[in-house]
Amino acid sequence: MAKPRSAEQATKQWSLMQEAWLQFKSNRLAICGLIVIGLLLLISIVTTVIDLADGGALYKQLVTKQNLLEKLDGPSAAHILGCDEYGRDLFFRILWGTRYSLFAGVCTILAAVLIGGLFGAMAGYYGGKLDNVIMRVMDMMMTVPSLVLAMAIVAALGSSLVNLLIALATSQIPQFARIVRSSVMAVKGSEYVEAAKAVGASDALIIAKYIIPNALSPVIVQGTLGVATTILNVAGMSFLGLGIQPPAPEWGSILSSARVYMREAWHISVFPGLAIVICILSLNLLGDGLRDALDPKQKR
Amino acid sequence: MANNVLEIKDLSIHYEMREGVVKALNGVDLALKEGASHGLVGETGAGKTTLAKGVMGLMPKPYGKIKSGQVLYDGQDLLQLNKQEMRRIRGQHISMIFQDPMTSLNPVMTVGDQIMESIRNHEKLSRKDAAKKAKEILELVGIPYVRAEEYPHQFSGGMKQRVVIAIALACNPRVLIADEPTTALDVTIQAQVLETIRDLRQKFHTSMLLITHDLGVIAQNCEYVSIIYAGEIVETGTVHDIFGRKLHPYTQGLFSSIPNINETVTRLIPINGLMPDPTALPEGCAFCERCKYAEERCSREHPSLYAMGGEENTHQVRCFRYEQNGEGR
Amino acid sequence: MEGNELLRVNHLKKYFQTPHGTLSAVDDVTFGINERETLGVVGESGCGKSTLGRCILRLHEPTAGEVVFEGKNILACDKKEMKSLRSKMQIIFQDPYASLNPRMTVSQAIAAPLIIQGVYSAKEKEKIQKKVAEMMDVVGLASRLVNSYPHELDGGRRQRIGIARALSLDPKFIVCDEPVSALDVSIQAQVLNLMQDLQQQMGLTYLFITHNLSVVKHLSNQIVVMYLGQLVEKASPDQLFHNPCHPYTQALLSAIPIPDPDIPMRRMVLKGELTSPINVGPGCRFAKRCNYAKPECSEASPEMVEVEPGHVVACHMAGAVNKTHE
Repeated sequence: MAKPRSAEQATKQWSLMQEAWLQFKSNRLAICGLIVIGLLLLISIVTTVIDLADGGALYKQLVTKQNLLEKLDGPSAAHILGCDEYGRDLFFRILWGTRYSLFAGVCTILAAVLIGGLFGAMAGYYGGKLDNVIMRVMDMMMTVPSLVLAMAIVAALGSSLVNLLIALATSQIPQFARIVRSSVMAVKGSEYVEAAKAVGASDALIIAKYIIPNALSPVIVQGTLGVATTILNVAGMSFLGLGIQPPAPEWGSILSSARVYMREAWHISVFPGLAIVICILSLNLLGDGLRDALDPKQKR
Repeated sequence: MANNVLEIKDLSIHYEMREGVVKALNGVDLALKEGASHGLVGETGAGKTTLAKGVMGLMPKPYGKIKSGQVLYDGQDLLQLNKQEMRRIRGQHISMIFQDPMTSLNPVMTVGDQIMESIRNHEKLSRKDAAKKAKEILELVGIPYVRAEEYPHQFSGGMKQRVVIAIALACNPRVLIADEPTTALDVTIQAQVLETIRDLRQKFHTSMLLITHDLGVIAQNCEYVSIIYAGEIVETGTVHDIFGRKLHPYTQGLFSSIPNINETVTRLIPINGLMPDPTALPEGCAFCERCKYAEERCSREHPSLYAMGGEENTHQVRCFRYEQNGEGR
Repeated sequence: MEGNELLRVNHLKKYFQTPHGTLSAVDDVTFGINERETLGVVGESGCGKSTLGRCILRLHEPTAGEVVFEGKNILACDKKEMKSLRSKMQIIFQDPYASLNPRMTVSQAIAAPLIIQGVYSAKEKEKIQKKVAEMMDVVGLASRLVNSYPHELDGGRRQRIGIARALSLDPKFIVCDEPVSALDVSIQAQVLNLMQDLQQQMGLTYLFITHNLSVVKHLSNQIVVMYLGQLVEKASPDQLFHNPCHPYTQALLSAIPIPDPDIPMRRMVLKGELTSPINVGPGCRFAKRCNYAKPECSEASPEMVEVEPGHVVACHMAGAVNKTHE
C-alpha cells in the first residue's frame, strides 16, 4: 500500500512543474531560446572539461597561440570565422569565450538573488522600520547607474574577474530586493500564511515553506533577464578595459581590441558581436517564456 | 398577454479551450416579456453569465463560440448583426449591470463624465444638455447631483453600484440585464439598491433579466423565474409556479439547502455531489447523479421540457417524473 | 448560566493607526461562549467582526483587553505557551481559494499543523498518512484526492480541506470566519451540515462570524450583532429574530429578502451608509443613521441593558424603540 502511494506522490509532485512546462512548450520562440542557451552551456562545460583534462594545452594551441602570418585573415576553410590581429583563430576564441560570459552572468545573478532576496524578504516580512532602512539603502544604490557603480567598485578594488563580479552583483542587488519584497508582502497577507500562524508555525518555517516557494517565480523570470543584462555589462566593462583582461578570449574584450581594425577586418567585430546578440536574445526569449509559464494568473 | 421584448431560442455557447470543449450553454430558451422582470437562478458555472454575455454579444474571444440559436429582440436576430449595429443596440436598447461595481467604473473619469459619455454615445446632445441629463439621472438613483464631479474611489460600494445603474439606464433602454447586481453588497445596501432598480423600472417600463443565486432576491423582485443547471433551463414559470410548486428535484434541492429565517429547521437537506464537468456532460439528464428520484432511464435519455400548466400556463419542467402530466415539446 | 464558559472576552480593543487617524476596529467588546455552543457574530463588512476573530486567536495583537480561554488570559501568554495553546484554538477562513497554499497538496496541507505542533515528526510518514486519511474521511473528502493541489479542486472541497486542517490538532474552539460565504447554496448546505456534525462528534465550540443572518440563525445558540467595532445587541436566535431591540438589528433583519413571493418585505429605511470607524466621537455610533435618535444619543455611549433574561442591548432608547416597533 505504501509503495504505490509514494510513487504516485512523486509523479504528483511534478504536476505544478508539468503544467508550467506545457504552457512553456507552446511558446516556440522560448523553446528556441532554451535550445540556444542549452547549447551555449554545453559549449562552456565542454571547453572547461577539456582545459581541466589536458592542463590547458589545447587552450594554448587553439586560443592564445599567436600566428602573425595569418593576422587579420578573413574567414576561410582553415579558419571559418577568420583570425584576429595576432592571427588567433576567432572561432575557437569565441567558443572558449562563452564560459566567461555565462559564468559571469550566472554567478553574478545568483549572488544578487541571494543577497538581495535576503534583504527583500526581511524587509517584506518584518516591515516597519527595518523595511524602511533596507529599502532606503536600496533606493540609494539604485540612484547610481549600474555601470558607473561597477566601474567605481572595480576602480577601488582593482580589475579582476572576481572584483568585476562583485561590482556587477552589487549593482543588481536592489532590483532583486524589490521584487522579493513585493512578492513576500503579497504572500504574507494571504490567508494560508495566517492559517500557518494559527497552528503555531515559527517565522523561519513560514518564510521557508510558505513564502519563498510562492515568491520564487518572479525571481526566476527576473533572474533570467538579469543574466542577459549582466552578460552585456561584462562585455561592456571588458570593452572599456575594466573587465576580463586579454589574452582571455572574453567577447567584450575581443570586440574592444577589434574596433581599431574595423575597416580592414570586419569579421573580428561582427562575430563576437553576433555571439553576444544571440546569447542575449535567447536569454530574453527564455525569460519571457518563463514569465508566461509561471504566471499563476494565467493558470486556471 | 404582453409581447416578448427579448426571446432567446435554442441558444448554445461553447468555449473551445486547450483542455477540451466547455459546454457552457446547451439549447436555452427564454422569453422576457415587455415590462416584466425575469429571474435566472443558478450556481457558479451553470451558464448564467455566459447567457448574459451571449445576448450582449460580449463573448470572450477567441474561445467563445455560439453553436446554435437565435436572440430575437423585437423579432430581429441579434446574433446576425455586425459590430456597428450591435453597438447601437447595447446601451440604447439593452443595457447590462455587472456584479462588481469596483471594476466596472473607470477610475480616472468623474462619475458625471462617465454617465455623460454613455448618453452621448447614443443620443446627439450638446455637452451641456448631456451634463444636465446626467445630473438628473444621478438624482434619480439617489445620489445628490453635486457629486457628479467626484471620482469613483470617493464613493462607497453601494453608491458605485448606483452609478453603474445610472449609466445603464441613462438611455432609457427597454431591456436591462443585471448580472448579480447586489452580490458584492451588504444586506442593507442590497435592499436599497434593489429598491432603486425597482422604482426606476416602474418609471421607465424597463424589462429586466435578473441573474442571481439568491432565491430571496428573486422572490421579492421577479414575476417570472427560470432555473438553470449545467447550461440548461430545468424549470421555468411564474414566480408563484416555481416557489409554490417546486417541481424539479434540483429546484427542491435549492430550497431545502437554504436556511429559512422564518422557519426553524434543525438540519438542512443539501444536494449531494457536484455539478457535472461541463467538458464531459452526461448523456442523460445532467442532474441525474445528484437526484434522489433518479431511475435507470435518467442516465440514458435526455429529458425535454414538459409543459405543466401553471398560473399563466407557462410552467415547464425538464424531468421524466412529469412526462405523464404534461406533453413533451 | 447553564454550561461551562470556555472562552471569555473582556473589554477587547484593537486600534489601527491610519493616515486619517485612529481606526477602532474592535472597541470594548465583552462576551462569553459556553462549551460546545456556537456564538454567531453578525455585522456588515467593515464592522470589525473578522478583526475580532483574529484578535481572539492573537493573529492580530489586541490593543487592550483580555481573552480568557479555559480560565487563562491568553494575551499574557509567552510564545511557548501560545504555541501549545494554538492546538486548541483554530480558525476556518472565508475564501477557500486564498486560504490554502497553492504549492501544497491536500495531504501536505492537512499534515502541516501536525508537524508544526510536533505531534509527529516529519519522518513518521506512515503515521502522518494514516492521520491525513482519517481526517479526510471525517470531512468527507475522497481518498483519491490525497495528492491533488488546491487549484484542481472546487470551492466546497477546498473548504473541506480548510476544515480538516483546522481539526487535525483536535481543537476545542474554532473561529469560523465566513466559512460558507464563498460557496454556492447547495455546497453551502453540505458544509454547514458537516460543521454541525463535527461539533456534535468532537465537542467543538464555534465562534461563527458571518454577514448571512439566516445562516447564523440556523447554527447559533447565541448571537451578537456588531456595528462599527462595538456590540449593539446580544440574544438567543429566537429573541433576536422575534424581538429585535436595537434599531440597527431591526433594520438588518428587515433587509433580508424573504424567499417567498407572497410575503412582501417591510424594509426599514436606513439613512446614509456604513462609514469607517475612524476618529469616532462620543455617543452612540449608530446615532447618525438611526430613525429614533434623540440629542442625548450623540452625547454619551449607551450601556448594555438587559431587556429580557439573556437579551442585552446597547441603546439609550432600548425600551421605547421596542414598543414603537411592536
